[in-house]
Amino acid sequence: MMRRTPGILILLLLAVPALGQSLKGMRKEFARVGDNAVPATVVVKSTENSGPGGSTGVIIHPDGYVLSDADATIVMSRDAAGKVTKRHTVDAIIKLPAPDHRTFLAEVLKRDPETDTTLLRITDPVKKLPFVPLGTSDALKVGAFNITIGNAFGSGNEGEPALSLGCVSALIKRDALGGGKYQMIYTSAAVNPGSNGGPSLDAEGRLVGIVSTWERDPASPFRTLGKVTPIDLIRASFATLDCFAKVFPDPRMMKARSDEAAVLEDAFSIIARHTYPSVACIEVTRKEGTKLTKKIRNPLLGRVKGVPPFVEVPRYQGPYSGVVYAKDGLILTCSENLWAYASIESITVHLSDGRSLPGKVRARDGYRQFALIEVEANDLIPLPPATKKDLEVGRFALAIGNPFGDQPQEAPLFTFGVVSGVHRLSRDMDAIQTDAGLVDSMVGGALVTLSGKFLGLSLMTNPEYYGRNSGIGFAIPLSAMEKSLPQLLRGKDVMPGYLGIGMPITNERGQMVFSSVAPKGPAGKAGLKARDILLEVDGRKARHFKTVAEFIDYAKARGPGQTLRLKVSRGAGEAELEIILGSPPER
Amino acid sequence: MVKREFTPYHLAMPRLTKFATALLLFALIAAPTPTSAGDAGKGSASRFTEAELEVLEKAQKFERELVRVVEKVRPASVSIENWQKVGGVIRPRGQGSGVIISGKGYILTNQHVVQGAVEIWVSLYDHRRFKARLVGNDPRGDVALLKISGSRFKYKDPRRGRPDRLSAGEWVIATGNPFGLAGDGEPVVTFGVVSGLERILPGQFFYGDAIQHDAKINPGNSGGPLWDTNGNLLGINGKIATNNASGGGPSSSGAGYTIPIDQIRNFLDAMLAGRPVRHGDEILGIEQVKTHYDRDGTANGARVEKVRDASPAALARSGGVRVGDVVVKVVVNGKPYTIRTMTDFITRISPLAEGSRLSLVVVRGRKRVSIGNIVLEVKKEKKGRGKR
Repeated sequence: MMRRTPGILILLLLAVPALGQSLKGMRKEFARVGDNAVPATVVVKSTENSGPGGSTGVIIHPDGYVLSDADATIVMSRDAAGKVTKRHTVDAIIKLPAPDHRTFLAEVLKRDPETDTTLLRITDPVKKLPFVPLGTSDALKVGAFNITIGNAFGSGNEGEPALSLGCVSALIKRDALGGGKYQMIYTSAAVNPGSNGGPSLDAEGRLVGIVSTWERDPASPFRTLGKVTPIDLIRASFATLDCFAKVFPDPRMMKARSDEAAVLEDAFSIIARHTYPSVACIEVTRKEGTKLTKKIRNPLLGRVKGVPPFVEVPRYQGPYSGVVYAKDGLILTCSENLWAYASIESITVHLSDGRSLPGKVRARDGYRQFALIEVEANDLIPLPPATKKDLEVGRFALAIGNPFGDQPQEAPLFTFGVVSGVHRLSRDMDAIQTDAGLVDSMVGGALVTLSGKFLGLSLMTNPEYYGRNSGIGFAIPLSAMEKSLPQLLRGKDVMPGYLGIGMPITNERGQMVFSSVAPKGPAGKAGLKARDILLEVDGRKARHFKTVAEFIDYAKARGPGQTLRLKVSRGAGEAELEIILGSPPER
Repeated sequence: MVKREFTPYHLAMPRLTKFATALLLFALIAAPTPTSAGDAGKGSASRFTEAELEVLEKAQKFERELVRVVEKVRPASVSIENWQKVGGVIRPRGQGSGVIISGKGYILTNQHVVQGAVEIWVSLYDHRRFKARLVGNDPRGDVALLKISGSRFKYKDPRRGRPDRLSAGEWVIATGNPFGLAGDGEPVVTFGVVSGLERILPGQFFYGDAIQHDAKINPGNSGGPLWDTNGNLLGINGKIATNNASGGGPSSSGAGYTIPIDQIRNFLDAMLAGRPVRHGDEILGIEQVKTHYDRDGTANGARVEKVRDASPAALARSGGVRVGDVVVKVVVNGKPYTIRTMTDFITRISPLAEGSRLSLVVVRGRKRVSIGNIVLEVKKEKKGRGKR
């Protein structure tokens, strides 16, 4: 046995470089960016802030010029009632990260609330500070790598700031002259409390913008993505300062990106651009008086005493995304985008070429959560479908959405991730799981492979359960949609069978117990009562359903009008019921 | 020899025949019409220019390499169920993840994943299920060692990972069971980069030196592995920072924390033997430190705030470590480390196991004092060691 070992070893050594050459090149790629930029990423606090918090800032000149956000040096005076009476800027404390740990005083040269930036200068005598070279935001492309570094969750106070890798998700064009091409960069890199004012870098490690905050507006199609002020806009805003020429030199050429990073981000941009024409923006107008909130379980329940069990939260009202299904005007979207279905007044479909067309719902599959919308067009461009071979855990999954309405941009809304898992949600949905960020406006959009093939239609995840932008996203593949597409094409809705019951619970003996039954619902009419214990379903023992969800799926898959035979135990006796499944009420 | 329990139990359930029938019926009703998906593939071949195709091909090569790493690590990643006795019946009460570190079925996970368990069930990537035994644990450090019986399990050698060589920006891969989505055993895969190192996370489960990364991990990923792009084990995921302002329940906001494997290695022998695990900071007896700032505000050491009586620190040479001493250097196993902050101090001391030797350099008043050869020994009479 022992004699064999060298042979195996040699084989292994030979095999390793051949296996992962590109990977090897990539492994340290962003570590190099970090090595340069992390020492120049500082904590910025007002001199009146003695707490642990603080914004982030970035040194952009070795003589101690620092860019940060507009709030970094703001102090608010409050009256006895806690109302803000005065806001004033004060000097700042700049703290270098570990292992340097030096602290300096700095003065505000200019604070610009418009771009949410402040330029500071360290007043203590310094030179040769580590700094981040400036890049240009005008050269950015959607899909390009984007790195944010910041004092997220206070990480920079004692140690190093936190670095996160994402990509440019959207570039919002600017109407005004001067100040570069873009008004705003949306990044998929992590932006958290404390990150504001930190650097946003390209793959070469150049500064392309200053992190403002993450998008918090529940009505925004970019909610949860990071907001970054483009560096070219910042340049314009500080152009009148005496030190401008010194502090804001022309963008530098850096050492070229490594082949691997360049290839990957270029591939992302290419796919984003090519997929854009196949992803439509869907605007839904609802009648006046439509309830625009939904009731959810209070997330504070059980954590804070005395809170109501349910709260009303605003619903995202669009714009949504859709994916071209057929050349002659058929577009797929997620049926969850068509909530309050009866109250929908009109649907407008915006295409990437600037056309806006009235849309009509052909039919919906409420069970598989997709719908078919038709528009008058015969030149739409469907995506090539992915096959089983394209679906592998660990492969890239690129999420493409179009929230741009009648203001088409150069590229779609884009995030990248990988295929995290397959065969999710239910057997019938066979959904693909991804960690690509699926923001609200991407629901109904496309998840595609690194060669631009259509993996699936992005679905709504339950944010109350899975959180927002938490890296848990699902898409339904074409193969699953095809099971009901013929019906939908004929204009026939496919709806899940509806029982009219609350979520059953499992009792201590592992049996399913009906917790609540709507008396006028299909199950209630058939005689099902709360506290009934499920014994048999269609002649099959109840324990064949591993989970409550499996039983519900089974009933849903049956469809309205179909019969479900249940045997339940009630008190000492038993009852047999025939439930004629109904259609779910519209939400 | 190897007992193969290939009964992926949910697949073996007879109810599926029914399910399949339902599907079949559905398929018959929904026979495809000529207008369906056929359109979808047309005109795809010539979408890209030659130059674009070249870029895509190179990128796909990189992708294939990533997939190969994922394939290598997935079989070692497991899902864990924590079964507890509720109302007289043993039922699943929580889920987590774990990683197999030897062919004999030793599994690392978080203590908080198996806390309070009456039974622990482990699901493998091939859907096999095993009842696991708790071999040993590090309750404060949030690590537990489990064992499932059998042999020739696919595993990842915990000695291969080098978290000490990581730097911010390196790619990492997380596998696990977020929200119970990998309940069948097939792990969920997410990617990210290292965000920062040497993080301290206080709490009942004290992380004295954690890796921070932005691979999306969520409730259920606890105890699951973090890998480098060579497929080596870097550590086990345990905590996340959540940004509740974005709404919804606790979930990832791009800040996940991993207990590094080199730290776990220090305690593996003790856990294997079922001995109680004590971290360096617990044994040493320096119970509270604060970052010491120079007059110009520069962090320059860790000021000792509290020393436990009769602890190795109190009994050390040079009159022992005293309150007010500012630790500026720690020498561990001959390697010197400069200490500028409380974080520096804790991240150096906390990962040390019983029996480690270290020396300190402290500033006491105006003098620098070397306190040599402190041995991290736990005194036999442990009665006095109460909860702090």
